[in-house]
This record gives sequence, structure tokens and C-alpha cells, in this order.
Amino acid sequence: MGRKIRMLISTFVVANLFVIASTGSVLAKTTLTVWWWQFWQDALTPAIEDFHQDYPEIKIEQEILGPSDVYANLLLALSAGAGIPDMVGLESSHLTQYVSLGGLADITEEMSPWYDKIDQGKWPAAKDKEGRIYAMPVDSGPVALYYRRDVFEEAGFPSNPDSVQPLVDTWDDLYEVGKQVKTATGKFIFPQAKTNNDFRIFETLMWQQEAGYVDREGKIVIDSPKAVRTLEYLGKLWKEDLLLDTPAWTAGWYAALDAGMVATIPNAIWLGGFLWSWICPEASGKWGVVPLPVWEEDGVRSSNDGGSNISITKACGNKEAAWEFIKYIFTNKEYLIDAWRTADWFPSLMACWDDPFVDEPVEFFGGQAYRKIFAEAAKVIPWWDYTKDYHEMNSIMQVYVTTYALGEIESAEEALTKAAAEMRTRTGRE
Amino acid sequence: MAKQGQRIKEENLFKKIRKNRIPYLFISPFFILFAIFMLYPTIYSFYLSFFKWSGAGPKAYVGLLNYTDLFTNRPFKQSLINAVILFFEYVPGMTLLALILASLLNSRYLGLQSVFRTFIFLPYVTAIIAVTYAFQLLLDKRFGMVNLFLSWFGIEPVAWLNTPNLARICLSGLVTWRWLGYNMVLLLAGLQNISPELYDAAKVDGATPTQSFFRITLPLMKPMLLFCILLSTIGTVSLFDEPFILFNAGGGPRDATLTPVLYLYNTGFRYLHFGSASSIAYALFIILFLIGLFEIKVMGEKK
Repeated sequence: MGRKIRMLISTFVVANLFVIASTGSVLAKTTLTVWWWQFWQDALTPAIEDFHQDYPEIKIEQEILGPSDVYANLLLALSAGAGIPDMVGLESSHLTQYVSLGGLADITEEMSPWYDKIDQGKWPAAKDKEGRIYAMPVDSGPVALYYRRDVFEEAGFPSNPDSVQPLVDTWDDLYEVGKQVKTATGKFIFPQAKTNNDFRIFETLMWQQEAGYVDREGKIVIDSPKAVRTLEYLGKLWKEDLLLDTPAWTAGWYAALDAGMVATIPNAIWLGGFLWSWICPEASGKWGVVPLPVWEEDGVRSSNDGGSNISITKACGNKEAAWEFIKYIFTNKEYLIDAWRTADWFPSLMACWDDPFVDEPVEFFGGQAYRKIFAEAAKVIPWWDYTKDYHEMNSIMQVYVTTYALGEIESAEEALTKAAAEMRTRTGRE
Repeated sequence: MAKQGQRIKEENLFKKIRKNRIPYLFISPFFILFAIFMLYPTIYSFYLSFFKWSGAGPKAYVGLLNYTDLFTNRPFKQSLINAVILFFEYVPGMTLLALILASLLNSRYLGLQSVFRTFIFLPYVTAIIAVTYAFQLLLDKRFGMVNLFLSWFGIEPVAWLNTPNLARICLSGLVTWRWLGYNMVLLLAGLQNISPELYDAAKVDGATPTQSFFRITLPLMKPMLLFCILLSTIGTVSLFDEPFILFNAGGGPRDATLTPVLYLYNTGFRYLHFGSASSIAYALFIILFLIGLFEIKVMGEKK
């Protein structure tokens, strides 16, 4: 009898120990899921390993999806109220939509020490109407002018950055260069298709002049004189067949960049990474970078295209742990510069912009310290707000800009006035 | 008397259901899944069509506003126009071609029937992503094989995918190529139901093959043709994968290949107007219902 009781007690104690041990480990170990795409994983693997070492009680589980799947799945998860990740990577162009959906956590307080230390151009997309902040900006897309040294030489121009820069001082200068390139080589000045694309270069050129879809009050201003001037400029180049009429991100576009069928391309810093890693790795030494041409004297030589952010969701089980993770990685200069080096991820953290790293010469760009140009451009990126209606406004803009490009609407002003009118009805903005 | 008969019938029905409850249990998964994934969303989207809703958060009741808004909605109207143009661009030709091919494959004179059948059906079972990317490459203005081929005859490069009308024609071509085999198989099944004795009798009476095609095949195939055309009508309105991939997720040049369902998708999942998207779904349902009725009336058998 006594033995039986002893057995019972010891079983009970052992069982209890198991229970305590297992609940203990559950309490100690927090698992945080994060949805983002391949780029993040490639750029951040060493940083995440360090984080796991320093914070053994937190485990980061990455779920790698394509960007469009991140958005689609997040929308479904938010509307179902289930299956929401703890953190999520979002491009600036999509961020405001999710801020307006209300699924992201307010991190205004946590962000306050970092507010002034981050690319100011990132904030409009990360804020709601009341100015609360819902995302940590991660990377920016400062824009400069990439150019092909071989094409410039072929057209009888000098090809080193110092001599190219005065040649393309203004957009009108670039137009003159384009004419010369066309007659001498039959090549194009830059690629911008008339149809079937989202006209990112048009947006980038407007962004350079702080002209966009909306003004600071949220009113539609796509028919502003600056926007009209920009479209007229593109129209002139289309009419004279100076632009390569191939949509970006298609086989023809890659082939054109690879074969040097375009002399330049105004684009963001991440394109450089795409060029050397997979679009045209064989064209090493043939590319160069100069600051953007300006629209008028003393104009800004900067614009932005793309960029992403990291957000904590409202459904996140352990917001403190998630914030620890974000702070650990995305405010750490070393990790961000590593990501810049490996994946051409331009950090939104300003401290990185003056690091000696930006002065390193890069062989692919003919030994030019090309990152310096983007770092300088990042300091003066003009204001721009994507707004939650960006995708609808962009698709409306596409229709009217295409109509203008195909010559079915004669004047750029008429095209943009019509676009603005339709945007106002569809979005309910003024 | 009649009432009592009715009651007995009802009792019999319940008895029968009770008796067969095990078979019912076995087929219930379909009905349960149907109710959750088809019936419920259908009803819920009808409810949603009276609200403004961005996919999460509160809904705002707006009455019929989503529906009345469709009358002045340019992209929606454009998508309907596109559907009509696409329909006339490919449905008559494709259906006729499918019928001719089916007749050929059904005739006794042609060898290697199963080989031809497989080849014509193959596009339908090929992954749509691969097919559409291949078309995109073939039709590229500067690097496409189609323009290379044309250049041998001294024809200037054609901007196939970049001009509104040509883009629609390319899309029609792709759809024809992909769905021809499917329609052919449907029609072939219909043809095989026509008794060969009819043709033999016609032959004895001195009818030529053309005459028997128009006098025997065509009239007897009417119900099957009607079925094919109905399917193509619905297919045109709900065309999605092909234009979505061929034109980089956009509506093509000047929204020329924006199909109604593509616009519905954009309205819901890209612009986050789920109420408006639901109203589009119901508007399309009504339009398709009316067109279907019309087609049945025009082509259907008269009793």
C-alpha cells in the first residue's frame, strides 16, 4: 500500500515537473512570424542570426512570399481576423492602404527617438490622418541617372562621369543628347513605353518637382503645370522616337538594358543591384551614374522610386519583442550597410549615408563611387504622398497618358485634366 | 384525396431520406463545402454590395449607390465594351473552327484521330502562365518572333501588344488558341451522338458531304453549339488570367483589354472598394443572365 502511494506521489511530482518545465519554456520562448519577400531574407540573414544569439528567448520565423502575395494574404488575414503575422514588410506604395485598413500597430512612441534620424520623405506613407506612425522605414529609393559609357562614346560624347554631368545638366540638355545619340547610333535616350506600364519614370520625374497625384491637403493636382510640363517633355521625346517603347520588367526591356540599346535610365539605386546581379552582369564597367538633370536652374537633383518599411500588426502577440527585433536590426548602421553591400538596399537611416562605405569604388560602374551620388540625392528627396488611393489613381493616369502617348489626345494638359477629373470622381477627393 | 396523396408522398420522401441517410452522409461533404465556399460568399457579397467597405474595419451602408455609380463608371463601361468586342472577335470564328475540326475528326476518312485530338486539346491543359509568357515573347515588338517572321516579307515591326485594337486581337488569338480544343471536344461528343444511319440515308438519297453537314450536322448540333456559345459568353466576361499576365497586371493599352472580371478584381483587391466590387459582380450576373436568356431564345429549339 505504502509503495503504491509513494509511486503515485513520485509520478505526480515527475508529471508536475514536466508541466512546469514545458510551460516555463513556452513563457520564455516567443515566436514572432514575419511576412516579407526574398530580398529581405537575402539582405538580413546575418543580422537575424545575431539577433537570435542575443535574444535566445525570441524566435523569428520568416515567411517568404512574393510582394503581391504579402499584400493579398495580409488583406485576407486582416478581414478574416485570423492568421495575421506579427510583423510584415510593406512597400511605401502599399503601406498607406494598410494603415487606412487599421490592421497595423501604432508605434509613434517607439519611433519618436528615431523620427529625425530617418529619411523624411518616408513619413507621409507611414502616417495616418492624425499623424500617428505605423511603420519603421527601412529602405529608400533615391534616384539618379544611370548611363551607358559605351553608348555615350559611340555617339561621340565623353564617357567619364565628370564630363557627362555637364552634358546632362538639365532635362533639355538630356533631350539634345538624346537627339545626338539617335542620329549617331540609332539608340534611345531612355526606356519609357507608351502603353502597358505604370509610368514609373513619369512619376519619378514629377516627384523630383514635388508634383504628384495629390498636394499636401490631399487634393488631386495631377493637372498642375509642373505635371503637364513633365508629360509634354515625354511627349516630345515620344514624338521624335527618342524613347524605347518597351514596358519595364519585360524580356524586351531586359534585353535592351543588356545590349545597351538605351543611353541612360533615370532610376532608383536598387536598379543598380538588379543590373549587376541579374539583368546584365556581363556589362561590367559599361555603366556610370550622374545626378539627375534639373527642370530649372537650382532645381533639386533628386527624386525617389520605391522603398519599403516594416510594421508590427495590431494582432501581434508580443509587441515589445517585435519592437526589440525591429530596433535591433533596422536602427543598426552595421546591419543596414551590410544589406546595402549585399543587396543594394539603400537604408532610410540617415547615419548610413555618410559612412565611408559610400566612397568605395565599384567595378561594375567603371570604378566609380556611385553610391555617393545616391546618398547625396537621398538628402534632398522632395515631398510625395502615395495615399491609399495610389493604385486606382495610377491606373487612371495610365489610361490618359497612354492615350496622349498614342497621339489620340493632342495636348498633355487635356490628358491630365481628364485624368484629374476621373480621379476626383473615383476617389472622392477634391 | 389529392391532399392525402401528397402527404403520403411527403412521408415517403422522409422515409426514403431516413432510409438512405448513410449515402446522404457520404455526399454531404460536397454540400457542406458548397455552402461554406460558394453559397455563403454569394449571399454575403450581395449584402456587401449595399455597403462601402475597404476589406477590414467598419462598413458604411450606402443603399443603391454602388449600383447607380456603375452607370457613370468609365472603366466598368469600358470593360463591358471590351467584352462585347472580344466576344465578336473570337467566339464565332472559334466555334465554327471547333465544329469543322470536330467534324473532320469524327469522319471516317481521317487517320491518326487520337493524335490530332490530343494536339488540339493540348493548349487547354498547358499552364496558362507559361502560355501567356510565351505569347508575350512571341509578340514583343522588338524581340518577338512574329515580327521577325514578318520582317522577312519586308513588313515593318508591328506593335502587337501596345496598340488598343491590336492588343484585343492578340488577346482574342490567345483565347482562341487556348479554348479551341476544349470546344472541339464538347462538339465532338455531340457529333458522336448523331446516328451514322442518318448520313448513310442521306448518302443513298444523293446528298453531298456539304449538304449533309448543313442539313444534318448543323441542325442536330444546335443544342451543343448553344451550350458552347453560352460557355464562351460567360468565359469572355470572366476572362482574367490571359489579360492579367499578357499586359503586366494592367488593363492593356488604354484599358483595351480590361475585362469585367479583371476590373472587378482590381476594384476589390487593389483599390479596396469591396462594396463596389460586389455590386459589379451582381451587375455582371444580371447582364449574363439576360444575354443567356436571349441566346437560348434565339438559338434554342422551338417546342
